[in-house]
Amino acid sequence: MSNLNILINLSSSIFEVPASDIDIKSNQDNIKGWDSLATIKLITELEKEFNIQFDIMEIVELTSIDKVIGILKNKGINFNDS
Amino acid sequence: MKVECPTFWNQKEINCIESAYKENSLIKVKDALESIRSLPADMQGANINIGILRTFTLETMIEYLQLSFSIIPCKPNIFFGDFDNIEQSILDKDSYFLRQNPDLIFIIWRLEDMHPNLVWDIDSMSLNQRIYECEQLIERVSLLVSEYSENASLFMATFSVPSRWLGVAHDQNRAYGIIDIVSRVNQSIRSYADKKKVKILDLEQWLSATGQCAIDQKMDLFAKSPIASKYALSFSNFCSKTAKPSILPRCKVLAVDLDNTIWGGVVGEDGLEDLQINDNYPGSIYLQIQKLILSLKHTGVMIVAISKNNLSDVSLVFEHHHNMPIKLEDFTSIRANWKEKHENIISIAEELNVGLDSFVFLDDQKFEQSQVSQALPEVRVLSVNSNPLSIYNSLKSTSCFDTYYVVEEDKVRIKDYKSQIERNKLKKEYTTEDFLHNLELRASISHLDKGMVPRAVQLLSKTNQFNLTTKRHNQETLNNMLNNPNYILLMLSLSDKFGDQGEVGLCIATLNSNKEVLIDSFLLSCRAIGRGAEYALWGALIKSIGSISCILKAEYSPTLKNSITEDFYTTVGMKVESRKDGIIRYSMAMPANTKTPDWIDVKIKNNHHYE
Repeated sequence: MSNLNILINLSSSIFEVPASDIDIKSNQDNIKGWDSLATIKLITELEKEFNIQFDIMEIVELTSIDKVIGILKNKGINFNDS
Repeated sequence: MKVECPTFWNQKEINCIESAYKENSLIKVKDALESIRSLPADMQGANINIGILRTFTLETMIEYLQLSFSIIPCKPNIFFGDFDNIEQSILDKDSYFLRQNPDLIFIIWRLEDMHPNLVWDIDSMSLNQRIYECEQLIERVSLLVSEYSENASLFMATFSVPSRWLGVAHDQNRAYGIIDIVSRVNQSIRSYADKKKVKILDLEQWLSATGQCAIDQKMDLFAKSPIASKYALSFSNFCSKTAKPSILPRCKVLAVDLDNTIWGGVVGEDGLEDLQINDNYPGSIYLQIQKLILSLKHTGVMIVAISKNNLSDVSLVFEHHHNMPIKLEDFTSIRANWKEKHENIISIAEELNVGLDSFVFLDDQKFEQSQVSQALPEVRVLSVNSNPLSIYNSLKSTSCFDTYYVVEEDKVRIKDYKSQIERNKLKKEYTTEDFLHNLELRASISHLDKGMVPRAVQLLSKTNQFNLTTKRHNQETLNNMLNNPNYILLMLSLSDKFGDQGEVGLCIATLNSNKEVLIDSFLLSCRAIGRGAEYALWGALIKSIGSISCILKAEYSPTLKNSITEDFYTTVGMKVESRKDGIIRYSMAMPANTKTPDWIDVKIKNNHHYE
């Protein structure tokens, strides 16, 4: 599974929407389930899944799938093949 | 982390749950929950409302908590009170929290949330001030306990030393420092537990077992969510284990195997002197296993022994072995015989008049574990391997025998789960043959070659139970037989889906000048008994004799240990010729037909043929 697919499946499970409803443009405003609790889950599940740690400044930036991908790329997670 | 699932759930659900525990991810946890919810309602257990009052964020762990409670089993409905609203939620009888009818209430709090000034400013306080603050905290606990009047079980968490104060020298060495205050408040909580006013959720113990890595400092600061996500299942399991005795009745009976379970070695083969139970490894573990079993007995668990053994051998061990902590009279009941273990469990259940769901079964052999759990899905089978450490750890960590109070019977149960499950639905038509079919047994029988001689000698010298003649031939005798074309020497190897048992059976027969084939030896190692392998070996013997017409002759010669084989030759169709001094002589005209059991895949290699 590509890293993009992993991210989308995880988001779908946390926000409780179908994976097909999630794309690069999804954000806190257009995904109903993306509330503050969901953000905590997203952080901790991504940290486990990719074996990384976000710092506090990165955490507050995690407001859209696009930005999540940007931060993950900075941490060396590969999103090129997707 | 070890998971204890209801034994009557299907392997599919159990695999799903085990994978959630292994991968420890939200997606897998949700998958596991979904698979549990697809089970028939009565298999999922009773509905339990669980209300959680807390001073920090736990909502992010709700799926983990749901999974841990579901595998008790029960159908948990988990809800949270408002942040820092503990008193308001349970002292006001009309609170929104209580109107949701919790069956269990958890109070989960931290000193740093409840009293941040104390935690951060304690060094600026006088001793009198510190005493006052400590008394205020204890007062808060006692107010909650004394004013709480609902029926739900109240679980109160113990406090832990905030990380700021771990290892701080001047705090360790003063009265009414943070460390001292935490222990005094916990002391008061524990004294209420002793008076049965509350039950303890011992998070202090949990944190000391996991260590500070279970605390996510960053998420604590960011979202007041201190439990590290990697420890979410560990935390939720700790909560569900704590609550389990108020949801499910405690198991009453521990049924233990003897050989290689409570002592190392096989009494029927190794003899009394060589049993491992002493201060040297691995005997030291078996010593601890026995002490653990005894301590369970002292909490009111009945201990019964179920062993494929001769009763006389078992009695001998308990009478003459000096290092044995367990004595014969510690067992409520003993079955040392050659019946299937599940039959013995049923007979003990009838004898003691307890339900099968009160039984926990402990046996080192996967084969026995699997047979009991297939035949009796109600019985809780501890999953162990033959390593004695795994036996010890599994027995130590099982929650089946957990109880809040040892002396008195735990009278108040929230819901009687037992009456809710229709046991009959679980009962499948089950035969031993069904089980054996599932084992995927493979037998390989070959004519002895030189390389197998040492193992054959070992089998001849060690096998006491399934051994028709108990002749102890030595290596030289066997080598001579090998070189004599009149001898048939067959070695049986056995394996099943649990593993390879190796070379476990031997048959020696010889053709004499009177056109008689005499069976000299026919034996099966005790670890291969009960699978029908003797019939595979028998079939190979008949095939080896082939189509020559002759008389096959055999005898059973009794010893103190081989009564299990007394009827063997009758079951394969031989006729009794004579009985004298306990020795039974049999005969049968050859060629004869024979049937091998259809649950064993038999391969015969480099077969012997009489010319």
